[in-house]
Amino acid sequence: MTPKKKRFYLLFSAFTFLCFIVGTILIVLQDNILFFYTPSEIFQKNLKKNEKVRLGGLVEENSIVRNDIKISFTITDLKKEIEVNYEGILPDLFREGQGVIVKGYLRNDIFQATEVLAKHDENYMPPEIKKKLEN
Amino acid sequence: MINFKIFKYANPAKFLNLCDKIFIYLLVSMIAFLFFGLYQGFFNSPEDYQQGNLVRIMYVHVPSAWMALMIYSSIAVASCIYLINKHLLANIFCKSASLIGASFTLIALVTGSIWGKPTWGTWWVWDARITSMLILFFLYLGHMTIFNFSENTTKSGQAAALLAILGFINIPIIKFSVDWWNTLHQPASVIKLSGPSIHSSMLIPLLITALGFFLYFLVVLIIRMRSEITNEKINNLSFTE
Amino acid sequence: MINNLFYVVSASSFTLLIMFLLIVFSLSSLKKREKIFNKISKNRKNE
Repeated sequence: MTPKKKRFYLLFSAFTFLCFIVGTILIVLQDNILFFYTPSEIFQKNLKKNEKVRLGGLVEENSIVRNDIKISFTITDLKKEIEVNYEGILPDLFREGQGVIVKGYLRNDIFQATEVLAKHDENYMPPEIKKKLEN
Repeated sequence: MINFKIFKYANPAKFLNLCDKIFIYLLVSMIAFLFFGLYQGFFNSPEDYQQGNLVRIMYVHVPSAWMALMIYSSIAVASCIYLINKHLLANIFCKSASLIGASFTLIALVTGSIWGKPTWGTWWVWDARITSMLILFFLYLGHMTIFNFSENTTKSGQAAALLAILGFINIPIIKFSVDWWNTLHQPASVIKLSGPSIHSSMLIPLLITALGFFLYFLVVLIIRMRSEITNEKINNLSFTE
Repeated sequence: MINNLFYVVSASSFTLLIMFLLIVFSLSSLKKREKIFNKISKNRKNE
């Protein structure tokens, strides 16, 4: 084997080995990398009392109830839904039908949120096109 | 191994000669593409149906992020060529390109943060995309630091090349992080199998700006490689004295 | 609306600033090194 080939195989095997290690770590840590749980996932988890988690899903249409600065709405993943209570400032993109992520804890099957983040979707288009698509 | 025709330019003198010839064309087209793309993006493209004017941050954020990934990948390829074939010019490329890539990563992180505040409602979250992008930034910093350890570019270049190749595993993680895990980032919009989900009136300025960013990379790269080659010459001269 | 414009302007000006600084920094280091190189090679010819 020429030194050149030797260097090539050495490099190649080192990289492959690293891929396996990183892949294993990522699979093992999968639960921690997940930024949020969907409503169906959260019911399957045995959460400790007042354990802080993130919950993500769509804001259900016509579910937003505003009461002064208190706001409550329902988050759904089209299979299960959870009622959410929140007090504070909402991001620009928060609206019905929008994907959101809320941080907080579950109490009596109602989610008490301390932080609300809006999720953007992957579609970018001018408003006129959006209107045309809807009609 | 395989002998590519391109290795004709592995000779630094021949390479600089080629650079001299194309530099002015690159510079002019860079200015044209950057100016036209950014003008179209900022003043002549429609608002987004959800984000309004904020979508214009995309025209600087997305090309920077693409460049950060592209430059890292090219450094990884050049590192392989350097470690296997020992081409000096590949090493000089790695040394020169690293700072440009780090700058683009920083731009992507900062503009992303500025974009995130009004749309998502937060400056920073530890979601998979943002975290892996931060790791990329640290990889670039480490790569540059190794080169600064010693004046001997050949020696420090080997260590840096090894880091660049092993760190390459981060690139697919960044690209696919939004598909593999739940993240705050939306899934891919432009580079995906089903075709871009971004309207052409926004996609075209974005692609033109991205091309401008790429030409900017080539221009700065030529300046920096010339500088590094001069530095090598200085070292050789003072070494033989 | 003014608020949104502020975000757009700060993001784009940050980008252009970094890109400008990088090009200036690279050019100045090239000029510096070329100066040193010319000096050394001149000295060698004189020797």
